[in-house]
Amino acid sequence: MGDNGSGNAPPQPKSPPEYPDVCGKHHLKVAVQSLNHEIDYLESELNSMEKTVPASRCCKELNEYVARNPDPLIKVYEKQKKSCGAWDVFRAIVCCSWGSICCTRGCLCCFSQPKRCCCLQLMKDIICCQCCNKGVGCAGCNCCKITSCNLESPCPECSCRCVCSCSRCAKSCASPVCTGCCKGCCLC
Amino acid sequence: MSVAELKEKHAAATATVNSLRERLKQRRQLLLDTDVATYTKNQGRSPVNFSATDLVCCRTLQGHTGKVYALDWTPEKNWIVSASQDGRLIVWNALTSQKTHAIKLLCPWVMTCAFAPNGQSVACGGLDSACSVFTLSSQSDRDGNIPVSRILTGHKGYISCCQYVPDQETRLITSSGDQTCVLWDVTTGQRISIFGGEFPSGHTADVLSLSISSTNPNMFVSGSCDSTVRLWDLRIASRAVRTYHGHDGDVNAVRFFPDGLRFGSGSDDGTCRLFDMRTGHQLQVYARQPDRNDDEIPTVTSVAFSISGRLMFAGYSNGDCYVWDTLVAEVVQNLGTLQNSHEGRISCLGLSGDGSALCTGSYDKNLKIWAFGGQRKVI
Repeated sequence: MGDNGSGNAPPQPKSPPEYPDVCGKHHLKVAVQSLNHEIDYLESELNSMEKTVPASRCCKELNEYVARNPDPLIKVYEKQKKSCGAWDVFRAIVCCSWGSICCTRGCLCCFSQPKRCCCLQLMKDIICCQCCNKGVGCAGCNCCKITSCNLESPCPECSCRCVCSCSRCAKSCASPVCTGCCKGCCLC
Repeated sequence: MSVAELKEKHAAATATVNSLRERLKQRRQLLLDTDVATYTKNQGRSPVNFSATDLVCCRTLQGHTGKVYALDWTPEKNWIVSASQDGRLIVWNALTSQKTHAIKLLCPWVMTCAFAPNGQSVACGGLDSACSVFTLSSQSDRDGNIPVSRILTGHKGYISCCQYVPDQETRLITSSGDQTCVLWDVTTGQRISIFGGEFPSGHTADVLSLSISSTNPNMFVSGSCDSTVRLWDLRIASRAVRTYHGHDGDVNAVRFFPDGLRFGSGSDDGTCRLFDMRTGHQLQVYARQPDRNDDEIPTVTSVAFSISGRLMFAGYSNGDCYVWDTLVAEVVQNLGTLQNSHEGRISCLGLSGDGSALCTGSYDKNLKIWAFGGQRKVI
């Protein structure tokens, strides 16, 4: 053993090689993709805003919808002074099957004696006017609002749904005497 | 592409998104020319007049031994299904207060329940991340329990809400803590569509509630812990149709307005809001008057509309149940202060199919039925 005179340097510890930050790059790519999707979404929403009606139009629709529909939980009904069609009479159907609390106070259907009807199947001695559900005619009954009317001809007191010339309007009136008051109720 | 270039792209895209959001916000502000209350008052309408005896509690449904978390009515039969911390579903005949079924659940941590449109099945879900379906006519086992008919598995988080698609006994939608909603085929147990998740424009936090439009059952809205409500089309699962911003906290409850074109929402920020589905406008904010006694603002747990939409019922975490005049944005009654009211938080509420009764469920373990008890006038 002796110095061979070759001059080879002893091995030195080396730093690990610098690998590319694959996880970080992938994460960034996904984030950029997600942002691009968001940009597309926001741009399409911005474009659709060009055709969007103001909030006042929506508020008007809301008020008109509420005015057209009776509510068993509200005590005062206003007769519709301005109707969508030829019908002026607006009757409230009050049929509450919750025992004596409601039904003994009387039923406002038909402006006359309330008629016995289907609710007898549920509780005896309850008089109500949810009659159109079973096809028992109740004059002045706002039947079409609550359930589909089983009468062959349209319920004479059915709130008018107007025929609209606009192709986008879905409203149509079943009444044979509707004068086509579309302007009042077509909201397209 | 290098990491540096990607970082540049990311910064540029972020700036574009922020700019678009600002433009969208400004454009929407221009279109918000009024709100419902201002418009209604300008029409000369006054608030609905309620006396203390107009809405009365006519039934108390007792039987659960734990907090009531959810309830649902049948569309026609006046039956109610309720879900409770006691690990049971109870089916009630709301007219007679009788319990027709008491179903012991495999997983007691239930959060939601729903009646099938034909009233023959009920579904529920909770912390087990699965939706269980029970057919009420099934024969009970030896212990008197109804066996589960189908278990819908696939969610990766708790089931917060479930609802059957109207008039379809075989289609059910669930919302989940995994940030998605799913449309299921109940017959096969298969997922038909997933809304959100890996797809862009989905919720970015737990989804807490959902409501399906009655007039267009292809559309539903979901409320989330990301403070937004999103509109979905059952036929297009790949992206939300629209996102509704406004709330400052978790959206705990959403419910469509009876016309199927508007919806209400209730949130941890203590407010209810009314949005227009098609335009995206926030039409009204329903905010409580600050109460000196409240250490913190009571959160909204549940919302429902009367059949005409004139009334909005909102349950709160402090036991209040406000009856809002939807059009005038004023509180016309607080069921929480009436005789025989609940003694705890209102967790859920819903209207009967014919709109003549409201059912509320509470942490006091009871359900209560409220109906009109006054004298009606036609003017």
